[in-house]
Amino acid sequence: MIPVEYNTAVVLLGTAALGLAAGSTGSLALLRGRALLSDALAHATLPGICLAFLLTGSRSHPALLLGALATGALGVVLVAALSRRGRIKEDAAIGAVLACFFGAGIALSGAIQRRSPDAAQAGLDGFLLGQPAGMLLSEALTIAGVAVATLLLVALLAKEWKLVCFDPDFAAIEGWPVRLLDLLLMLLITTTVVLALPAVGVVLAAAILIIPATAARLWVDRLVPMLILASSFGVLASVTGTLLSARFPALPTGPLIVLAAGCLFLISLLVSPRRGIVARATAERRRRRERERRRLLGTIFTEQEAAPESPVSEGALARRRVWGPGRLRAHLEDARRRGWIRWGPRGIELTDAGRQRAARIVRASRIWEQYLLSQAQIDRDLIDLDAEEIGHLLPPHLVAELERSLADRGLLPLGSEGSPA
Amino acid sequence: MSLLDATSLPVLIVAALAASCCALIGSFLVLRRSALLGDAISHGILPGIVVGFALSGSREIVPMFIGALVAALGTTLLTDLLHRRLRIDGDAAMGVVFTTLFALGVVLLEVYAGRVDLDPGCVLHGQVEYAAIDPASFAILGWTPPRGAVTLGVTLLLDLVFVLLLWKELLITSFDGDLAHSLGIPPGPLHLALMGMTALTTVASFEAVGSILVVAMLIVPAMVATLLTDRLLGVLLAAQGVALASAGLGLWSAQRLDTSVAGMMAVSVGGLLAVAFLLAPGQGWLPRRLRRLSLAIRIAEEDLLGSLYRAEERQAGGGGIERPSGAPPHHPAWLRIGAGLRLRWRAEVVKSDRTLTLTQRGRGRGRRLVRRHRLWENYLSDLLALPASHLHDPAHRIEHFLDEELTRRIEERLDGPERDPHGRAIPAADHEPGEEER
Repeated sequence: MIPVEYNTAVVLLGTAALGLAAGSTGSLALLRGRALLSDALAHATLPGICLAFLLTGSRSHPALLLGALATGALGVVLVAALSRRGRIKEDAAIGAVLACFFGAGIALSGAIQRRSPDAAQAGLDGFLLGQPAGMLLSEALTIAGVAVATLLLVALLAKEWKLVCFDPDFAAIEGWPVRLLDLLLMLLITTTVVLALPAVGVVLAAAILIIPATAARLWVDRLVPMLILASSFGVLASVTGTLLSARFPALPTGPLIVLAAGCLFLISLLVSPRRGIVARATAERRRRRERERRRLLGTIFTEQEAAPESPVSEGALARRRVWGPGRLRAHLEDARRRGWIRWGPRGIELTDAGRQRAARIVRASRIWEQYLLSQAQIDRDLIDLDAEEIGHLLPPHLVAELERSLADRGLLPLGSEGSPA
Repeated sequence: MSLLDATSLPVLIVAALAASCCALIGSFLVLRRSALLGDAISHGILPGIVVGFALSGSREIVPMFIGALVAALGTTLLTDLLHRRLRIDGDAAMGVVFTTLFALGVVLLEVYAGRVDLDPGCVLHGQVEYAAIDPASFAILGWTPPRGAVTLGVTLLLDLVFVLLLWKELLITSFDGDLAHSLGIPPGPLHLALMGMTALTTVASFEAVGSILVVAMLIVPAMVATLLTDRLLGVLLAAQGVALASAGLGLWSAQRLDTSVAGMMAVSVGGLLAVAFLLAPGQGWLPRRLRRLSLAIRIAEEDLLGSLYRAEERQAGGGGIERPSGAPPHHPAWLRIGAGLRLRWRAEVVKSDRTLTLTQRGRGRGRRLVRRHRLWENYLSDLLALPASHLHDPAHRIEHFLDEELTRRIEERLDGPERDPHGRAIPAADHEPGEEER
């Protein structure tokens, strides 16, 4: 562990508490579809900060953050009013409020700066990209207090959030106060964003809500684990970012925190066991290989069916042009290892296990084909199926009927009778 | 200080050019409902700009543009990948990608601080003033244009060429994506091309208006325009007007208040949006309210005329069976009083001895209303077989909305009935002697 100075420890406390609150609030915001609204909210706080400075002349955080709260809330109300009805879509309303309020903030801070350059340099510029280095212990403790209160509120109402986030219509029908809960959620988001301003700044405040929650969503499907995981990601990103910026003082803390969160997201994206890229690619490859195996067995079976006397040669399979020579050899070797085929003196032979399996595969695919042709009336060209477990998909009497019609035409594979139907 | 003096004019030109090319491309973003993609791209290109700058060591647009284009495509493709392939909520996918890239850009700015002459604040909110005094490396007829104006002028030209070349494709995909798809216009390449133009426009403008205020210039003029008109050309032209007006207003107010031009441009365009939202003729809040008010007054007027006409009928004894009419018109007192005053002013009723009497003109309107009401009752009773108790309320609602032609057709369909289901006479369509048409 790096030895931590007093100042850094204070900042660590503050940003970690912030990460904690942002993770849980952000999860709710994400699930309720308020992710980018929180971005508009964050940008809309800038004119409030400047106005509060103009009105009170003080650089103390409480006054400035109250101003931020006021215009941030106004921004959210305006987004709702603009997009409630008529032409303007919510995303355009979000963009417009975000950019115009930010512009107003820039204009106000420009005016302040040109009148009293020193004040602006010290106080207001830090709010753009955050300046947690100067955090006081009292401020860090305030953030921690609010974070704990937020967590308590989220935990106490976990059931209500779950309902409102995953099935708001049902919640409304059941008589839950959806509007009230939404309002409360908006309040939580606003508080968290405003608290995040001194640390990560107006531009990136929403990021520490959105990113840890989105990363957590990749790992879990349930609300409570997601809240816990997102809060942990938030704390981890905050601590990493803060320590990095303590190590490299030239680099800004806020963006480093966001970048750390982004890295956590990237890692989650790659390695998450259920929705990660690696896991998906592996599953996809496994599925494809399984399909190839089925195809090979089925092909050998039909070849043998067509000419029972002559053995199946590798050349005959290659002539089907399904696989290239290398692929074919590899698949055959794989099937041999699995004990489905053996190299007989005159060519490829199916073992008993292989024959049974192959018969099942061919039977299933022919029944499917027959079903789609006769019952669902689908064109033969559109049919390409190799589902083996047909019994799970079609009712037994239908399977029997299809089998009969196949048997009438001599197409029912021999050796497949005992298979589950 | 005037907008057209030697120091202000270059600023105005740069501001107007930036606003103009942003509004042009932004119109398509708004119409295609990807307004926030503009937001995402303008944030996401920052690392590309910084790296391009750092590698070339200069503020030339070409390396910055290449970097920005790569970053913009990265933003778009990553967002798309997260959303489509990995099923992450669209908003969140976008939020994650552009904020992370932006944070990366800010960190890179500090890492390359020695080599990159870009101030983080300046990246966010731009400096039209500096962009306007930085001269180009060449002169036209002895005049050296500001470098920003040259860059933005070329960008505007490229945007215009892009829009003109792909006019039909942009038109169809903007309003009807499915039709475009069925006509074989590939959505992917066109989308990418639009993203490329957005990136180019954003890079060219960010020096003047900054990466966040670019968003205001990209989407707000088009939002104002869609409140004003329905046609693509109209939207584009109106957006240009709004963009130029906000550039002028922004510069003027910034000079008055001694503050940032780019910031005041965003405030101005926001103000124009507010005005349009409240006052736009078709879509605005106030016109909608007024239309509803005038409809309410008309209905109250007609109800008053109708009840006066029925009272006259009863006095004349020609109305058939007496029966209190169903629901009395429910109108608030102020609306009834207003309707009465308006009718008196238009000489459709006169007041004497505290009672209202119809004039000829008012009687005609009342008669036509009662005629519509009773014909509709017949229609409901004959063709929809509704019981007599269910006839009045629907007729009372629709009597205000049937026009003469429709009423005549209903009458024809019913073979010109003389009495309504309650046995009251249906007034004739033609004028009674001395009555004048409205």
